[in-house]
Amino acid sequence: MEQSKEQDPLEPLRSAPEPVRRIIDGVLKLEKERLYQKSPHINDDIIRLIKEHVK
Amino acid sequence: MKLQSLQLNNFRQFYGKSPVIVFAGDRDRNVTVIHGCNGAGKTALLNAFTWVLYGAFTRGFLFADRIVNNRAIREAKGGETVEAWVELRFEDDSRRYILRKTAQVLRTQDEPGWTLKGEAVSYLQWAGDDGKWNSEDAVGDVVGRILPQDLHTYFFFDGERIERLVQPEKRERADMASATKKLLGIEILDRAERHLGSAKKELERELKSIGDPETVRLLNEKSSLEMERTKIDEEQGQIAIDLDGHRQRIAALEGRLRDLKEVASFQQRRDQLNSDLKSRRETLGQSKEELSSLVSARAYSVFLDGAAERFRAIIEELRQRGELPAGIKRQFVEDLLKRGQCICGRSLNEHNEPHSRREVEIWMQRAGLQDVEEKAIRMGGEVKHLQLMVQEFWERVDQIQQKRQADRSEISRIEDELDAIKTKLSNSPTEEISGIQRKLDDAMRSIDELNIRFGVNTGALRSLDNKILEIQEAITKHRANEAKQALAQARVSHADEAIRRIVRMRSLIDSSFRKELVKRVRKLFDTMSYTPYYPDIADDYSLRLLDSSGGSPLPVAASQGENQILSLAYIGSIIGQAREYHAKKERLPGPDSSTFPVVMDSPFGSLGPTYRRQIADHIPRLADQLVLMVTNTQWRGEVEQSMAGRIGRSYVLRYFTPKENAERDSVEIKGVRYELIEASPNEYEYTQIMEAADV
Repeated sequence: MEQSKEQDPLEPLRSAPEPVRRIIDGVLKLEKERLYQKSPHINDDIIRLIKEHVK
Repeated sequence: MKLQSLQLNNFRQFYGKSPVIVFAGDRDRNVTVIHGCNGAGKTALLNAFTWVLYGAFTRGFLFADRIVNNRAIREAKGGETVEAWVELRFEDDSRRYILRKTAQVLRTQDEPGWTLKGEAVSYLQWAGDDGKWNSEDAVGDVVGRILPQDLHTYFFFDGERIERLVQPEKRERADMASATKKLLGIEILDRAERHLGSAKKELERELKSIGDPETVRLLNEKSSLEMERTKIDEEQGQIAIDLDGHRQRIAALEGRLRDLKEVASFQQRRDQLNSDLKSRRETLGQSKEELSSLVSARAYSVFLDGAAERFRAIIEELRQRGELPAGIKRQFVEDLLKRGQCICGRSLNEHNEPHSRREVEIWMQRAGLQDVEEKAIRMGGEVKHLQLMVQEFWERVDQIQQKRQADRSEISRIEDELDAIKTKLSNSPTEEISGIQRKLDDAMRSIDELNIRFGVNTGALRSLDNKILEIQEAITKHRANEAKQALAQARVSHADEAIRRIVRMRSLIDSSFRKELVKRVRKLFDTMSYTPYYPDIADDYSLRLLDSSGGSPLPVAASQGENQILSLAYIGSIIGQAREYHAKKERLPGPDSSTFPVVMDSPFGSLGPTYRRQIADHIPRLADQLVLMVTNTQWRGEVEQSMAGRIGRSYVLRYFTPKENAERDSVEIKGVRYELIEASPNEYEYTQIMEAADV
């Protein structure tokens, strides 16, 4: 059971502390939106996201 | 992405506006077949997709700049604009899209007879559930989100070159790995890890900039200033004690002079003069204060003189015009109008006697000046008062100045007399008297010096207090920074934690996806191929065939046909995996599309009958939609038989050649014969698209 949990790719996200989970969710969403761009300017948005979730 | 239709206008060899090619989209009949001979424009059709979607062409597509049909250009007059366009309609995620790309050329006299008119222009419209059409300017962005450009080689490809997926060049291998990762959502994790790393670095820089050393420096500075302040404060205390000592000494010395008979009268006079001096100085100080108060309270009146003059002029003008005094009350006129009758008895009804009423109404305006008159009278009084105030102000200033002058003269006189007494006592032939005076002079000088020192110190203390206050404020701010610092630290560690978890997810997804993908590709390849080889996917997602018949697995120098089968198995597996992943309830963000079309040009060119049958059997099941461009050779026989039940639509490319006696070719679809090569009615070669009836 423990092993299958460990093999589940979403487990690191599920078990993350709330702010970390939100950061990951937010960053992945941002990345998805800009996946069509070769070099997206995304740094500022990620920093803003982290600051928003860790206050 | 679900393809709906494609229409061409003067695109490459397709002269004029083509009929709309509607793509089969039923679950069971999802194949659209486009028949054409070599050179009829099958590859051009494939490139119509890649051009309209991405402005790109497939490898080996010749003369890519020649978009506009040659016959259309030749038939145009000099200076005329000829345009070619491709219009693709598709659906994605409950939205319908119309995408059109247009290229224009200008007909010229010089060879080659045309010149490009700027870049090709794309136009995109979409409609959601409400059916309303919207324009979209960011065409590339929208198309890129639906099907990223670097993935397009998996969905729109030349079947004869498909084996390149197995033996890619170095650059292609990187593109292929990136495209596969993108389709499976792994690219998002890669990028998230990379970009979170940059963001973390930025946060670390912020953390450094609000570091603690500054607080320490400020605290040290404050402490050193406070020490300096204490030192000066102690000195001030000592000065006060010294001053008191000198004053007592002076009192004692003066007492001794009073006791000496021969100079007692001088000292008494001096006592009197000192008392007078003190009193005069106090009076002088009071006068100065009085003058300051007077100036701040009343000096403004001096500057109002011009305003008072203007006021008088305005009132005088009103009087001369007879508008002041008003002489009639507004209320009285209002009553007359309300009653509808004048004092002379005439009716003021606005219907019967409008003229009379207007006459009386004019009096309302004059009567209105009554308010002005009242205010003018009140202000007149105030203006008069103002003028009196100015007069009083100057008189009082003169008085104070005279008194100050008198006090100054008296002070000067007293000081002269005191000096005279001092000189007399200093020069006294009696040693005791001159000695006491010298000691008095010394004490006075000491008091002066101490007073100066006290003043300097007072200034220094004030400045130190200000500096200490400033530093205290800076420290408070930096202490707030300590909280900021803790926050910045927390942000850095959260970013770090997010990165670690993303890396873990990526590694788990990568291995499970790759394992799953390898399983799928092997299963598919095994179904289609009769060789004992089995596929493997490397870390960079490049494909290879292995053979373990001799024990350990070794790479195989596979034939072109096997590589083509492997490539198609790979594409099919990726589509299957992406589709399955998309259907999962809980998943990481990835491309939205769960429906993928496959558009293949010449798919079975170099394959033997067995492989052709296998591919024809499998491909329609792997892709959601399949568009095939085939020659007779590629179609006839096993492919036609295998696909028969899956075909939703068929089209024929009719190639018109100006060459006389060209060999004819035709295709039979559901018992109807369609010519593939026909004689051109003019000197041009061109192609027309025709839907095969009764499919």
